[in-house]
Amino acid sequence: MVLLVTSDNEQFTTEKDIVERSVLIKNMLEDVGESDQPIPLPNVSSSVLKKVLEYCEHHRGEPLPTADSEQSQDETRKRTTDISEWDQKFITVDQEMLFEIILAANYLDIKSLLDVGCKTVANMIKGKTPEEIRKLFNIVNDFTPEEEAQIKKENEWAEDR
Amino acid sequence: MPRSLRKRVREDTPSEGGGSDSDEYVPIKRTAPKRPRTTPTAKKPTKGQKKRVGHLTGALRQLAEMPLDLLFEVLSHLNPIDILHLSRTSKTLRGMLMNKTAAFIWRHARANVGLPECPADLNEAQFTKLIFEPQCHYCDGAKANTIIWSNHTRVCRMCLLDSKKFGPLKAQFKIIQDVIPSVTIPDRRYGRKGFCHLYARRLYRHYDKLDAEAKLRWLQEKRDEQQSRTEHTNLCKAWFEVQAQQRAAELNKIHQKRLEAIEEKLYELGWGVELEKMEDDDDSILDHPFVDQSKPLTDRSWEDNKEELIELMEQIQEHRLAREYHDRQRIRHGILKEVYDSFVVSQPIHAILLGLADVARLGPFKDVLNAPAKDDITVEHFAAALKELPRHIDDWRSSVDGKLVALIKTADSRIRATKSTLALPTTFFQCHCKLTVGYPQIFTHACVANSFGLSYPECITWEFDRHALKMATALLQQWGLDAKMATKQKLEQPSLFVECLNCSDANQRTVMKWHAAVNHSSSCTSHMRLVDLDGQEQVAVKALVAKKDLWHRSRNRHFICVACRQRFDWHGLNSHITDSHRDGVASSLAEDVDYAPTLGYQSLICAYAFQIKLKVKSMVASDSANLSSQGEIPRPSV
Repeated sequence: MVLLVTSDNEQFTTEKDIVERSVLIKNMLEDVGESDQPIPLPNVSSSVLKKVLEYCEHHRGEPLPTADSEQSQDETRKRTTDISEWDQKFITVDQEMLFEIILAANYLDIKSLLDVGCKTVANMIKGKTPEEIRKLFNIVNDFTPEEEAQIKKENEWAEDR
Repeated sequence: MPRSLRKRVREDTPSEGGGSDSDEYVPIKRTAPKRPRTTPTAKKPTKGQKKRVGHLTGALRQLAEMPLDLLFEVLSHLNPIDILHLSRTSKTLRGMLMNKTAAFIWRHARANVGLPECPADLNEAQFTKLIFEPQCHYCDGAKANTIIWSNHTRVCRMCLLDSKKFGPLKAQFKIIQDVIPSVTIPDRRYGRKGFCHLYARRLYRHYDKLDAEAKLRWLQEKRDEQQSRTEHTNLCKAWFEVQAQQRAAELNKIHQKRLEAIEEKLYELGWGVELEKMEDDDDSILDHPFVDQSKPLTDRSWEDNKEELIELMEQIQEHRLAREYHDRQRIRHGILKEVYDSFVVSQPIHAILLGLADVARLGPFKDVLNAPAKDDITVEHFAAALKELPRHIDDWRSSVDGKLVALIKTADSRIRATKSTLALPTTFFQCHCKLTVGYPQIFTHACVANSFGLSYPECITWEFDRHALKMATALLQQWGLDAKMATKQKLEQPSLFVECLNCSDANQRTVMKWHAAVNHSSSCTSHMRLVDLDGQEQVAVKALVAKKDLWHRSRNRHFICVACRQRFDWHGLNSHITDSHRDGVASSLAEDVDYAPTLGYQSLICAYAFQIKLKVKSMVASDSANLSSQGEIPRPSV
């Protein structure tokens, strides 16, 4: 069993094979060896860790992505934004939590969870017009109408016409 | 296993756009999810007014605050068009994404959709725009579906058809023809090659400024450039084809799911049996505009269209029940025909009988035919009804006779008509075909009789023929005969004919039977006489009439085989003769029949329709329908 302590000082006891989905913790455990000492996770709050552990528990036992497989995925690229049904349900959380999960997955180095989070955000952007994206990101449109018309033509191109 | 709609989906092959060798290419629409519909009330904010924002406003604002590597991680899942749209959101993002250091993001995005490398003459954003944005490069219109690969531009149909922009090349530009971008202009049928005038002018201006040597060099450079583009173009075209196929497969999948969902809903509403019993070629559900869509079924749309589909299912059920009834009736009528045929052959050859359809309408037979679907009807089921049939036929005759008598009374109240009046030689009726018909020939008149049955008197309008009465009476008076039943029998003797002296001449005699004479008599009353033809003359008349009658054969008339007493239409008779009397029949048969008083002259003629028999060898038939009854005998042969 592994003891984890969150940023808000809450303690979580979990099984090793669950928590080892986090490459960060896995390496830590390997470095430290068997110990009763709690592992502090100063960047993860208890509510987020609860979600992360739920994810890890569901995916326990699944092979961890190796460096090779990651590389081959990067090479063949053609990434899909398909998310499994369970993951989809899991990640249906408010935006605040979604970004907390992404940050936690990044910090804890849980590649698959990071992917799920990033894909979810990407799916929210996909197919949107610039105006819709601005709304999503709360971005202020700092182009003048003329500039906007010009960039729509991808200006270098326009000069070529 | 129940048949399901999804198995019946037509395999719509995707339109594999392209494939032509032309320079242009019509790309498919991108597969990215549709952007949400804007509400009709959404108005552009006026200056100073706070922008109206949707429920997702600022939802991803945290993304901007995230570490860059995480931002890139998210972006790496996007498609090129999304990156392009991102680059148009703000100066900061544009600056970041258009920077050379962000090239990997575009590469990832291209790789996500399997798009070929960016061509040398375009940057990533331009290439993405070319591939994904249907914006016309010549008018900024939004429906440019044609890509001119040789200059990497998109063009809309309106511009293509604008002769100021595209068309035949001017003579002065011919020298650089092979480096000017061309395109197929959609014409009425085949399309025609057109050149881009804008490019032609621009390229020629440049070419014209060069000296002779530079001109050659420039031309060669341009040709090489075109050549190098070809390979990339082919890759792009192949990519579009794959996209089209994927899109078609995707749409098909969605369509399939929609069908499954609709099917499930219909099952829930209790239409499962109907779906299972639908005929294979019945596409009425698949073709229904609500069903034939490639988008997921929503509860709302189902509720909105449910009634219409239920109505359709009711129609399908109605058709199915009608089809089953029809099939059942066809089988049962086949059995009835078998039963009735055996009854018919047991009757005298010229007995006036009901047709099969009329028999089917008789109560007892109708009851058997309309027995519940589960009942397996056999010959035995008709036995009781068959016993009653002679009585029904008598009733029918009696009823028709009564109606005919009523017709006479209505036409002329001075005539004290009874049923015996019908058999008088002066009683004639006029059909709506204007033919004067006697009694009982009225039962076999071609307008009412066919192989399926007699429909007298419902289907046509008869009238008592007062003119014929007048003419017939005049003729009989002229010959010193009484208008009695006995006279009619005499007149119907095979050898007795009426000769019209007015219509006969030195070369030929015009003879006819009694009822034809009544028809003929209007103009020739005083010139008609009764003649007794000898055997040879009779044969000549019959042969002529039979010949004249040939063209009538294919009409709706029915025939009786004198050997078997079965009744047929013309085609049925031919098959019967071929099948059953290939070797002919005893010649005595022909002599024995056909003098039946009920059918009179027509049977006389048709029994002797051996003119036909001689040709077809064994045709032995009796026509029980009326026919033209006038024959002309060439005098020399008599």
